[in-house]
Amino acid sequence: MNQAQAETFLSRELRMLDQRKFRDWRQLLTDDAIYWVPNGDADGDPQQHCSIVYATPPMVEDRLQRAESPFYWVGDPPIRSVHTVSNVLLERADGDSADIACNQVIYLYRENDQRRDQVLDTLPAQCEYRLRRQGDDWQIAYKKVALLNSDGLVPLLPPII
Amino acid sequence: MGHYTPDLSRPEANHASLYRDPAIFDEEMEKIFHATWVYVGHGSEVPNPGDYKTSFIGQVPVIMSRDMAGKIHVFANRCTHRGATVCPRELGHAESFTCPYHAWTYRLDGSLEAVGLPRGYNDGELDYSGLGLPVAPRVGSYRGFVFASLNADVHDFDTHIGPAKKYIDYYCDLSPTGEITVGLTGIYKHRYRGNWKAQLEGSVEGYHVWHNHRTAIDIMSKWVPIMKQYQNLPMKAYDLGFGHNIIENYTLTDEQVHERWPAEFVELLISAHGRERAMDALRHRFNIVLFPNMAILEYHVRVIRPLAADRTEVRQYHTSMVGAPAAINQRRVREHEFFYGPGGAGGPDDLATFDRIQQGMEAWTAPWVLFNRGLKSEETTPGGLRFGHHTQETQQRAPYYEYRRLMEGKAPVPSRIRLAAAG
Repeated sequence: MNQAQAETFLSRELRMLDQRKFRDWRQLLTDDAIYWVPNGDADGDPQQHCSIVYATPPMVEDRLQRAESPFYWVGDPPIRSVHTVSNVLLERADGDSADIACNQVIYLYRENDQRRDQVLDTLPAQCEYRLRRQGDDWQIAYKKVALLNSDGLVPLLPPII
Repeated sequence: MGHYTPDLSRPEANHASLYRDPAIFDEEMEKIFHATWVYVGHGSEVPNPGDYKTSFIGQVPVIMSRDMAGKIHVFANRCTHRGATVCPRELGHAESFTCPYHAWTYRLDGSLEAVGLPRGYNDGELDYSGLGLPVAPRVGSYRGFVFASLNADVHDFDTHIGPAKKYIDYYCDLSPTGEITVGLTGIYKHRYRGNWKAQLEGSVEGYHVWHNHRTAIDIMSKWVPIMKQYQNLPMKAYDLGFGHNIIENYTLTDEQVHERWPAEFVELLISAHGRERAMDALRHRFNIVLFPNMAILEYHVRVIRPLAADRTEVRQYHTSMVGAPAAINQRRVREHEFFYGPGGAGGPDDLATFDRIQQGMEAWTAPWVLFNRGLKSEETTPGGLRFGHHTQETQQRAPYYEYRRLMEGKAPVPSRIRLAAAG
């Protein structure tokens, strides 16, 4: 993987989230993937300390099943997102795997709310990825989204951020 | 806008102005939060001498500190000179607290130790003994949970906490040492655009579970199958007095206890506490509200901080069982984060709903908020506690008996808040 491929991969991945194609995003995960959004200390041990999200692929399935339900009140009306990605650093790469660090800014907005003055939330994050090659494609073996305010007030979130 | 009047709250209904009116909110702060016992923190947050935590009693920013002798003090985080906070952090360790403005320095018990440039004061202008940080005159604790009151005349703490002790014991005895930590393994923080009482009511809400949390119940039934039968369980909810109340979520049979917990853990608790206490801790799952600002739920301590009539902060302090096997505490981490926090499968639906409650209450043409479910079939224990089925509303009615007592001035409320200076 080279720099341009890394940036293209991230842009595609985040576009899936912004288009709410969460099932497509699910397909990017390796079977042993970990998707992690820490709460508090981003360097802490997620086995000892609660996270905002700590999920294996079956747990991601549960999240998507919930988000597709008519009883998903957080997403009623739905939360729209825009992700921007920058400062993409290809920290390590060989033919079969790559470690990427990047910054993301995640904008969240609840559409069509009766209240009509719903705020636009801005969530800057430092992110880490470990990608693995599967044939001609790359998959996510590890994704960590360390929100800048992970120890502060975090708004209601879409199923995957 | 107006003041609280007795016709606004009845056992079967509250008027929406209790949730919307800024003047009533101010009155609640004075007559409830600044007058009764308020939860401040847990001893595990300040384990060593010099450790402190900042928190709030109503609108008053406070510091809970542990002095060199191990004693816990609660005092206002407010320099007595010109008003700045003397401690800017949530949690930490200090030898003393120094104001950033003129270096007024306070000891761990709140007393004034030194001021900057003292020679500028003439004789009689600086009274060290009268200028300590304003201390909460009453502090009480039970099994590490620390409560304080700004009201020197408040009823005694033992009477206040008495009816809740049994449940706090059940909770802490899930630890083989009987000790728990609060918040050290995670704190979720959220604000919603709604009144604080929506969360107080919502912390013991048996009626909404099957519908509001349907998506979560479907998933968590994989490891707690009994949750599927929630509304059909013969569980009760009780008014414990002083606004406190408890809802039984479920009670496991001995067989179900063994399905839920590994045998080694069950045996560990039995050898630590004896069979009866251990099985009590393992069987009973409940949510308890300690009026006005705290609740203890299966995995966390919840602290409700009113910000305005339509703005509330909620913190969920995850609890860990000291001395329990790592795998047990790890499971409590995973199960807690599954349901709670901004990314959870349950809690966020509550918070989204509280926001909608506040929006809907703008409909002043329909001002009543109903709490009459199960009122006619409500029973009383031989000890005098009201109770009903856990999907009824005894537990939502419970806080308002104390609310009315305090708001209507039937309880001894000081004419002004006494913030005795630390000697």
